[in-house]
Amino acid sequence: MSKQLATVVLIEDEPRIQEFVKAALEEAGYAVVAAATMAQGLTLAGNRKPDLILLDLGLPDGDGLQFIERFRQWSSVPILVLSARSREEEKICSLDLGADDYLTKPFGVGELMARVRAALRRRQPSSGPPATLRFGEHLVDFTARRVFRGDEPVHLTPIEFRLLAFLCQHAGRVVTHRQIMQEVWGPAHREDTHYLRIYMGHLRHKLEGNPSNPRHLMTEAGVGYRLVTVAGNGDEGADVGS
Amino acid sequence: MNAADVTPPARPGTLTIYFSAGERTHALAMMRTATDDRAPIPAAEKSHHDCRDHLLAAGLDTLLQAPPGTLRLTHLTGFLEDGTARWEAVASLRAAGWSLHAVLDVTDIAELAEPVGAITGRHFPQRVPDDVMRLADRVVWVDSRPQQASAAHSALRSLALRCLAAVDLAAGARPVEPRQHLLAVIGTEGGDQVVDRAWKLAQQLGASWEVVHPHPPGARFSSRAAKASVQRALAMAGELGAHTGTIPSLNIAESVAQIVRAHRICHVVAGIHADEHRERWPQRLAELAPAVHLSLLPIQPDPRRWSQWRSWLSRGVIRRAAWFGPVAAIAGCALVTVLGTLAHGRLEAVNIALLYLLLVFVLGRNIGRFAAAVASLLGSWLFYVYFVPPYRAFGINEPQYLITFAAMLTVALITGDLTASLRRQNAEVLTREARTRALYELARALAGAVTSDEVAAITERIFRDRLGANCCFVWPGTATAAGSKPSRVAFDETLAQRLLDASVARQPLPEYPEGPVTYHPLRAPSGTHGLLVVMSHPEADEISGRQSDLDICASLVAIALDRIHYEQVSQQALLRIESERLRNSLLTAISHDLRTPLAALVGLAESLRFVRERQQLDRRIDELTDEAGRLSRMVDSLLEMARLQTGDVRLRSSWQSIEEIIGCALYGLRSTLGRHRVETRVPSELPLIQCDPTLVERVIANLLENAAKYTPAGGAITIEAYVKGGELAVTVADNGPGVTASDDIFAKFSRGQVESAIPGVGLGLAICKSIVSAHGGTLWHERPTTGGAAFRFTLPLGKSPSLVDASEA
Repeated sequence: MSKQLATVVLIEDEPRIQEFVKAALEEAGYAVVAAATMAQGLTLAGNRKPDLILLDLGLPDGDGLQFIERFRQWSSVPILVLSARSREEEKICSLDLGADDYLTKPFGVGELMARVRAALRRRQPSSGPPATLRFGEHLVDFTARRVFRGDEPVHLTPIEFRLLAFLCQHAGRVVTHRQIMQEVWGPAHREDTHYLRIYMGHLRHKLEGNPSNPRHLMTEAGVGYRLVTVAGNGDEGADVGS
Repeated sequence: MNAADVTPPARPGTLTIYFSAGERTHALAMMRTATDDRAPIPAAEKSHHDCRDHLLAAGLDTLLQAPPGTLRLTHLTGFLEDGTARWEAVASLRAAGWSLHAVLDVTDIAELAEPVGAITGRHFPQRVPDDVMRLADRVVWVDSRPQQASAAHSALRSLALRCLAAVDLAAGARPVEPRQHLLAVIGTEGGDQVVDRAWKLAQQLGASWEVVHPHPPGARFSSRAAKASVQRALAMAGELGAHTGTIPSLNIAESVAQIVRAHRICHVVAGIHADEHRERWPQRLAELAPAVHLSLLPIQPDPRRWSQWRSWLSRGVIRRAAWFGPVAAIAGCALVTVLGTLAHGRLEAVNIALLYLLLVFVLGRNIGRFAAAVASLLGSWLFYVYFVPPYRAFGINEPQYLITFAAMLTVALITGDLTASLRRQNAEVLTREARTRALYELARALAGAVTSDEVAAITERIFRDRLGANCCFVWPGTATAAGSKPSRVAFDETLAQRLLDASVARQPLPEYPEGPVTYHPLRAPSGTHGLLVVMSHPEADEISGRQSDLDICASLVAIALDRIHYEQVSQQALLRIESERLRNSLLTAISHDLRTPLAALVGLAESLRFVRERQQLDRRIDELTDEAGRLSRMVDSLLEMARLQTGDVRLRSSWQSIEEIIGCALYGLRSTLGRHRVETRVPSELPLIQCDPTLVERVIANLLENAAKYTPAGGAITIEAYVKGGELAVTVADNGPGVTASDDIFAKFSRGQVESAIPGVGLGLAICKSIVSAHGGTLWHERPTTGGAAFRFTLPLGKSPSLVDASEA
């Protein structure tokens, strides 16, 4: 609380929401700059050197999607979308345009903070990709292309490993089906998402304790997948399992 | 009788049922007539059940192996020797391509056993299900009106008719309008032969047919036998589905030609006496209507010739052409003069004068005024020359001659006038008859119309076919004519619009010049529905030219439109009442279920002011968050239901893994399900399914939420997925108290317990049901023997997509 963790630009036209989000972030030690319009937001994002953008999609002077498009032309600072719309197309569209994650209103403070932390965590290691990643009792070794569960090696096929590696690279963030297909299978298979379902199923059976109630390889319905490294994701984590 | 047809029938075969109400013999006769079986009915077949027919004798297998032919069955009840029900055997034979004819009685039908038993007081042990009627390609209703119609008989008859109507309704097929019309003309003899022939021909042509008996107006039948013969033939034709009637006619050829023109007949069937060719009306008809196809059937003459003579005379065969009258007059006068000369010595001159007078009368009656006048002039002169002394004196100097001449001329004129007026009356009767028929037909057809388009189509058809006129409609609010072919009726659109506007405003109609086009506002009690524009053919007779008749047609159409209008109004009113009711139930539900958490929210928020302890504050905040979350979910449910209800649900289907969807739902509800034991049973090898993942997740989440809501903390919730019979089934079960109110838990705003403390608006299951049925699956509730509640839904399994290209690279 004493030292400033990071600067967050909050673009949100609804004053009540702006107020509580700002309060929650400041409470956690972030410096918050708030804007109520897209134009103001673009100016602030340009001259305040933010570490994170929190963006509402419905703005009085333009669509939040336009903001993402313009902002991504000159910055790779993470964008977290706040949207009252629960329509999947909009989420996918914002993610494909370059947003890093989204939160659907109404959301809780716990959930918001977890997403903010995940987005910022990804930003920090600018010194190249990590060699290993841990989640749960699993260890992924990217250089050796091997996966361990505890000390036991887990056998993964090349595609399964590529899929897991891609999710690890974006740990904590949602990745759309399209992004995964393009990265793992190549642009030719961009629309064949049923491959993805089957391989995700395989991965879950190899890595999850209960594949039908996963804790790490999470599904974002209609949008994509998210690898959660910390079970419970920061908000009230319930142990729902057989 | 089991003669195989020469021509092989098309596959599958046909089944014709001759259906009657307790008149099996009559139906048998009808079947024989229809199938051209002239052999007498064997005595054995007249009795009901004990006859051995060919189906029984030959055996089903033998028949199925033989090439398909025609088979007549005297009954459908009972069993074959191998135990197969006869009607089932008939069904297999039909499928094998046989054409079957069978007699069925209302007492045979199993479904009617009870009422038939009550009516007849008898029990018929062998019966067939009424499915057999639906199996039939054609059901011929064999009506019977016995001399003393008993109450029991008429009850049976109405039962049979109701059964027939039910079958017709089930078939649901609107009769196809035949393209061809056939006319049978029957005389006093051999009518049944003509009807028989015409029916077969109509069957072959797929034509509608009518049977008429031309009869001089006011004349009596020559004998009781002739009358009975005509009535019999007409009744038979009626039973076989023909329009029948007696038409008043002085000249058969002309009357028939008139019908041919008015009803667009393409084929005429008539009987003609085999040995004499006096009846020359068919030739005359061929001249009058050259396009029509004539089928003449030789008929064995009646031994009582005089009746033919009489009918020959009464039909006025003598009249042929314009020159015929004077020639006949001259010839007649010559004949009378010769006769008079021969009998001169024995007859008084007065009697001879009477002969001339008789001639004038006959000519006036049968040929016309002109012939009679010629005969009166010539006759009176001849009489004067030959029979009044001085004989053969050509000069006229006797005033008596003038009296004779005047008397004869008067007789000629009066008889001619009488005949002419008789003819005119006859023509009028014919016209009126045709008009009445057309009106009747219009009224009957309109009674069945349910949309204004149908009304328009029916009216156009009847005007075209029956009245020989084209018509079209102008509806209010449309600038142009709405008719099937507006080009057929060329009319003044501005005038039509003016007339329509005046009629709608209930103002006097503007006058318009007379012409072939007439305008008739469709006025009904509820207002003016439109304008009927009629264009009569220039050559059309006075039938369509009568303004008053067209007005009657217009009012018939207007009444039909009015009825449709009111039907729509009442339907809309019903809809409005229904939606009003729904809105009320929604408001009730909202007022209770949304206000409760809102009240809690307000109270909790207010109470924050008085909290001093940190711990208590945290608890209050948790409660606030919970209540707000609950409210949010309710609003989501309401919005979702509204979306599903407006039919705005678009399935964004793709191949999905049910395991993943279940995982998603469990993750979303992890806090709600925190206090329950959740067990998942999802095999790893489940195939992918084609569905909308967010909607299916919603179904599972709603079911899980319900289970959590109604199961006490610590209860067990099981979710299971498996494949069964081409479907993927998902079950959500709990060990809670189970569902008590079973009947309508899937209806909107319905909850197991009214005014329950457990929050919710009762939309969850209704939403689930809509989503599952949108996916082509079903959702239902089960009561497991182990207690608790179980909800199960199925989703159809498609053909899973191939993974050829996705193999490991």
